[in-house]
Amino acid sequence: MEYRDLVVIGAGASGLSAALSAKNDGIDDILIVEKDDMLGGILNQCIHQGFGVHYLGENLTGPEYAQILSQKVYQNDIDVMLNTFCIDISEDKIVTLTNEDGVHKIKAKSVILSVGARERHIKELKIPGSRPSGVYTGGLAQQILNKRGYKIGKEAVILGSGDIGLIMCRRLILNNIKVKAIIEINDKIGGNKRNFKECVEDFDIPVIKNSTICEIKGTERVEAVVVKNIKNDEKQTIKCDTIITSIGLTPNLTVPINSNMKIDSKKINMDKYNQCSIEGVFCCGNICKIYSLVDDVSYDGEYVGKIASEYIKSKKLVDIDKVEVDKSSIATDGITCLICPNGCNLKQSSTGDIEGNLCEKGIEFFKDEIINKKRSITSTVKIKNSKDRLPIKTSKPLEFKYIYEAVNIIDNMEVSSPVKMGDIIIENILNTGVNIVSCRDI
Amino acid sequence: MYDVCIIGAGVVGSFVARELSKYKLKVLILEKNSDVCSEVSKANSAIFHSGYNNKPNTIKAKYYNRSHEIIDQICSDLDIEYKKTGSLLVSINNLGRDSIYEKYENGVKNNVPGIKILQKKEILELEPNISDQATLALYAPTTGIVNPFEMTVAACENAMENGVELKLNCEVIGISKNNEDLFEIKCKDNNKYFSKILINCAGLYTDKINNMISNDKFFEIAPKKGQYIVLDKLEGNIVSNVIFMTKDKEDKKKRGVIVSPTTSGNILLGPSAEDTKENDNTFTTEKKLNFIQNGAKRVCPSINLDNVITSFAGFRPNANLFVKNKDTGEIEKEKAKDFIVKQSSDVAGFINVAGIKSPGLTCAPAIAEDVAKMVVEILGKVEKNESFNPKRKKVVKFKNLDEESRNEFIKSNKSYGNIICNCELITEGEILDAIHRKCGATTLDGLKRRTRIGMGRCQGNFCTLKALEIMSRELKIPIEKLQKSNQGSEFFMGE
Repeated sequence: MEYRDLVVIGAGASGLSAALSAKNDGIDDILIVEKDDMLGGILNQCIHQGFGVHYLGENLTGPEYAQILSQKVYQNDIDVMLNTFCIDISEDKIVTLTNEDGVHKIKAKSVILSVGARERHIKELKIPGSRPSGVYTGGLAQQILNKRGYKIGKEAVILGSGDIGLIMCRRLILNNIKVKAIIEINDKIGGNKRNFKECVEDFDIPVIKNSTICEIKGTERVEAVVVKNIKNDEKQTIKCDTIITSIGLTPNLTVPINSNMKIDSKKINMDKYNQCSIEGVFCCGNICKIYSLVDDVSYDGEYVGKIASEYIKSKKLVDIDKVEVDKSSIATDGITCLICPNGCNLKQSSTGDIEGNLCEKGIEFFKDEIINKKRSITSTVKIKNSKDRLPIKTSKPLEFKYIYEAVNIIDNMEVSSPVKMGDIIIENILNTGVNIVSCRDI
Repeated sequence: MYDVCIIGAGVVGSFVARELSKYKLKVLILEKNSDVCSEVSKANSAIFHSGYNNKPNTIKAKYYNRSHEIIDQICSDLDIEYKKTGSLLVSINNLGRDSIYEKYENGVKNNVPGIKILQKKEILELEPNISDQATLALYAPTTGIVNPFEMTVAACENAMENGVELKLNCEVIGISKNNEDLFEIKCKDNNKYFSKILINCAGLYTDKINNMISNDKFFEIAPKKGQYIVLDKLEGNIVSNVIFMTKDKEDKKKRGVIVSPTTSGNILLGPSAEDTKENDNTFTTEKKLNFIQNGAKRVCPSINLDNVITSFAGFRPNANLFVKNKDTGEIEKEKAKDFIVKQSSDVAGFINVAGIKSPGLTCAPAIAEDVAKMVVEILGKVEKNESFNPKRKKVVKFKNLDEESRNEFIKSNKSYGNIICNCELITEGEILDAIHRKCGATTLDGLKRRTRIGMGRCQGNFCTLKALEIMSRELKIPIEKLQKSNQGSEFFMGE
């Protein structure tokens, strides 16, 4: 049996932040366990921007956020086991792991469980109809499109207007997949205004509100969906071959269930120190509750990392201040500025003046976004001799009229490793002065 | 040229094939779908009934009794999970109370072991989550549950290990007899197969197949659709017996539903019963799913219906017989009360196995014995296959192994250390085994049913892509060509 002070299960934003915070608090004997072949978790498939403004002080793509945290983990000499799956955690904190070398047992002084969430799937909505192929959750569609580049369909309908639904809308369009409609059960958009503007309005995609899919048609592949307005029961049929769902996340409870931890109606039972029903086992990130900002997931990880460190040192649970992004700063009717953590809520007054900015940069940001209609784009490019793809982004926003052409160029190129994060992949694309840069090392 | 051709690789066709592989015969199964067990055999209540429903002096009752004699041996030989859970037929608020006594008496006549009538208190002792409105119940300890797909695939795989050939994606579109008195069977893909004997196990299409070759069009299939709901394992302890409800003879809307444990630890609710003309459309409807949920709530009020994982539908291949009215001389339709297992009246060597509705799953092994006997009689001298191996081992479930065995498996084959499906703990090793053995998986649904990959809480969101990439690599099929089930169900589109 191997012994460790701290075992962190799951190397997404919360797990990496927790491990780094415990290390910072003087815990040296840490092991991070990750089931995938790289650190970063779901961040790696979220190639869009908007991560890290608060926690890392920069507007990053998911892969960049993942790489920055991963680099810190490696620089701090924290041990990592990749391609390793946690089966369960026993009452006396023996963690059972399995990988291609066999079954491993590690006795830990403390365990941090940061295995994230899973997506709710269409079957949970009990939608009647047939069960053809062509129905994907937003996350599975991200894996398929962003990590592999397989063509997922020709005509799609998106169910749910949360941020993942909106972001997938733009992703599909830029992948030459027609988005016929976004279906939203409430009377307002679920995701933030900026995403709605850049992912939906820019492309004139209809949003059908107060509605849901009430039937799926098609024997082998999806052929159509019947959309019902829940207010007046009116139905319409929309032909499509693909359905992308964005109907929310729910904590991933497989490890807690396998470990017989206490669960209260689909939520893990935990105290105010994020300690679950096994003493010394703490949870952080989306397994505790579904966060809307990855920055808050990292803050939660940091918080739990500190609690676990104190517990390892003194066997005591200590009250620690918890940081969370001020929700009031997230724009509800304006556009959130992404230049710095202030996250100003920018609006244009009736006289045309830009309001809400704390500094001049906000005016520039607003002008680019709204007046000049400049857009950052993210995508992935083929890596020679690999099935993986390299996430990329524009170095600065590009005039909207160029984005289709730019994406077409990006789609048809191939890179050879090694590449570093920030390396220029295409210089001065379409003579716009904008570069296409890599979002991680390969 | 084959000695015997079987049309349909459902549970009956597969057991017939296995039975015939005990002889030195060249046997072919033609299946129109991309996998075995794709229609009637796949979507049903998955129950081995105890037998109190059977009318004495029917072939159903005969097969039924025979199956109960051999089923333990067959399940052990083929490594099929068969759990004797017991069952309760429950009367809520005295609804259909009389039928409990009727069925009890019928059960006694049929020698069903251990059946007894339970009063309210005894019901609640046995099943504490049953409604306190349950006033009377018939308890049958020998009722059991199986996984119908596992049962079918096990029989077919074992048949193939013993020399039977299986051709998938082969829809029969025409049958004739040639000059040499051989059946000439034409498939949609233009291939032709020849055989001395033809066995019609085509389930919902047995009438079509019969009418292709025989002028004695004595039956039709009138499918009855049944919808089901599956609940998460979190709800798995709500009942431990199979729970049936008595039905109200007057008010059909008060038809009961079954609340049943499954071999995988989930709970199955259903079925509805709907007449239908479309026997290829297994869609579910809001109305019937509500009916099922309401029925389940009536018998188990504390059931948590938020834990629904999925819903599905299947068909009962009910048969109607065309009979001449003795008085008027007119041909009339009547519902077949028994199975049809017999040689055609006008085509020698053509055997119909039709109308195999409930308890067809239970009876399949005994029907197969009987059909094999008919084949041997028709062919005359047939030698036994001395090398017949009755045993088959299922794909090892890593999840069910103890730690020492898990380690051994990984040490001998490291792919067992690569967990692909997080929710159900399915390893790459199991996937490779399910793909490469006889009657192996060629579609994602086929892989799911053989391994349970993607059948857990997340329904495949984490593992679908990984599974498809493994299948593509192992089967050497481009990923765009991989199907969910039949042709047209590809996941990705080529350029």
